[in-house]
Amino acid sequence: MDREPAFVALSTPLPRPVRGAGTRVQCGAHELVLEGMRGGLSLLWTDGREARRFALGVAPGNDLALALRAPRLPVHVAARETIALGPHGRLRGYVQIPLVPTVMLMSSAASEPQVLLELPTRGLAPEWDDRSGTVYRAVSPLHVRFPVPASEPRAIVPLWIANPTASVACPGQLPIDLVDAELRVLRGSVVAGPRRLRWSGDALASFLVERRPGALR
Amino acid sequence: MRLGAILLVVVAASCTDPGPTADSEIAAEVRALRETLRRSSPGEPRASAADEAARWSAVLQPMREAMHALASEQRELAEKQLALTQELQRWSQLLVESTSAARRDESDALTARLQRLETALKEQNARQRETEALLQKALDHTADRLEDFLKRIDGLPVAPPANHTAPGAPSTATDPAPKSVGAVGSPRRRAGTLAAWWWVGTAAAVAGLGVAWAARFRRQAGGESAAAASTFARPEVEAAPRDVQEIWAAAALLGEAVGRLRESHANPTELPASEREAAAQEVAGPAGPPGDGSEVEGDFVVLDDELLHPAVAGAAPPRRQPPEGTVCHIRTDDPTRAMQAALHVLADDPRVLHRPEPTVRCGRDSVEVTFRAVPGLPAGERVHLEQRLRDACA
Repeated sequence: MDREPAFVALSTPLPRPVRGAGTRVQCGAHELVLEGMRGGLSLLWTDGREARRFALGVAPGNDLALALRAPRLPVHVAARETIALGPHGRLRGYVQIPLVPTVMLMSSAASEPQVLLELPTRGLAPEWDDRSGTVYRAVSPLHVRFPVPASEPRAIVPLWIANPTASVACPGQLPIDLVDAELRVLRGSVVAGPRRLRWSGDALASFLVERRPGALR
Repeated sequence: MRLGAILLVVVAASCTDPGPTADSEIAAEVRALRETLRRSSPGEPRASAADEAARWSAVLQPMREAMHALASEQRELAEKQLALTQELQRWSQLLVESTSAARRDESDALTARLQRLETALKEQNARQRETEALLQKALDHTADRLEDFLKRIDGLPVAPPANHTAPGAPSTATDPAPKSVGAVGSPRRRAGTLAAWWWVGTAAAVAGLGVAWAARFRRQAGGESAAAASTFARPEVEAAPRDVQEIWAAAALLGEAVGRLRESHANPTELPASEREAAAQEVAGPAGPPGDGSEVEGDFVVLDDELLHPAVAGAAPPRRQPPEGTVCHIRTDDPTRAMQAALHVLADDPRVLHRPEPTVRCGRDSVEVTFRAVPGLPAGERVHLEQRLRDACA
């Protein structure tokens, strides 16, 4: 049985094993075992608390990969620290958002990889929000230094929180919406684009800061 | 022609209401009584006219009583209708009287409001004229003081300044002597083209500084009233030379006049003060706390305000209704235990919305589980979730 290294980049190929053999990939607490069986492939997934088995049928010319993708719904991050901003106050820091391990299918018929399976992520709790619709709720401490050590696949999001109003702001959640295109691997961590959050009196409005060439080191 | 008329009569007769009316019923009853009397005495000799009249009277006695009752009821109804008509007339008169009184009050209020608006308009026009005069005088003073200052710099003879003393203008209190307007143009022409350009540039720079100083003064006075009450000591400002102070005073006067003029011509489509302040801060860029320069240098990313654009989350319009719920009816022998197991499964599954919370209702031999799955969940995952529920409740 081939054994892949524990560190997983944004995309790690899953070699198709021959019948009777298997491929093991570990990504944080997620552990995947891809086995060749009669008539197709068998994927065993576990996160230490739950285990599931998937039966996959993949054409011979197609390849599989394990990708770390951004959550497809907006994420409301609840900071473990209570954030309080004075009038015209600013705060900088980093939060972590769990990434979704996804089994991608690279087909010769399609130009782009297709999502074959989305593995469950316990750090993202879906819920309904009257203003934003269906969102994921995540919990993260507000880090002040980069890189942030993590054992789970998480994206580090630089934040710049500002309170331009003349009253004290105490936001309850930090709205962040990630896309796959902004995820990069830097200094051994997955990093998303920096966000500027502005307090509007009752909620935080999120603005994405585009990367300027040479801004990231 | 005749045939057509007959057909028309037949059609009209067929279209009439066939239902019995009160008159037809009475007539039918009378005919039936007459037929009964005729059948009851076929062989008897004809009675006398008095006996027949008595019999008819006896037969029609119930009809007479009914007619009397109907007549009395009709009279009562007519009396009630008359009373209601009179009451309605009285109410109409009251309504007309109250409406006229309300309109009179409303017209009086509108007249008073119109008078107040006219008075306010006159006062506003007077303030506008006063502000324009103040601005004109401030411009004249600024030009005079700039000219004096530049002459001192260039070593030219100083002409007496023009007398533009305005009542209430703060700068006029410091003028030592009256100045003349006619002395402004002649030295400028003599100084030549280069000096004129120098003056124009300097005047524009000083005017810009004045406007900026006035804007800062207004912001500090409006938004940071708490800072005025603060117990922290403010740093002392080093005293500037007298010429510079005079220029600053003139620029401040000019800025104040421009500010008052702007306030009097406030544009309704302009952003509110808070938004303008926020926009100015955004344009000015992030200003971190003092003493964190090393953190900025060691920061991971460089935030540039020019590169800001709304995130994808802000662009998506929020939905109004949560997704449709999924209802599962599960038969079980122990509904209480099944309810706890279902809630445990739903609370632990990342495919189920935690808000609105899933609900479980217990029956005698079944439970009804209602939950909302994540939008876009594939059918296989949904069926797997339902099967997990059934396995947990079994």
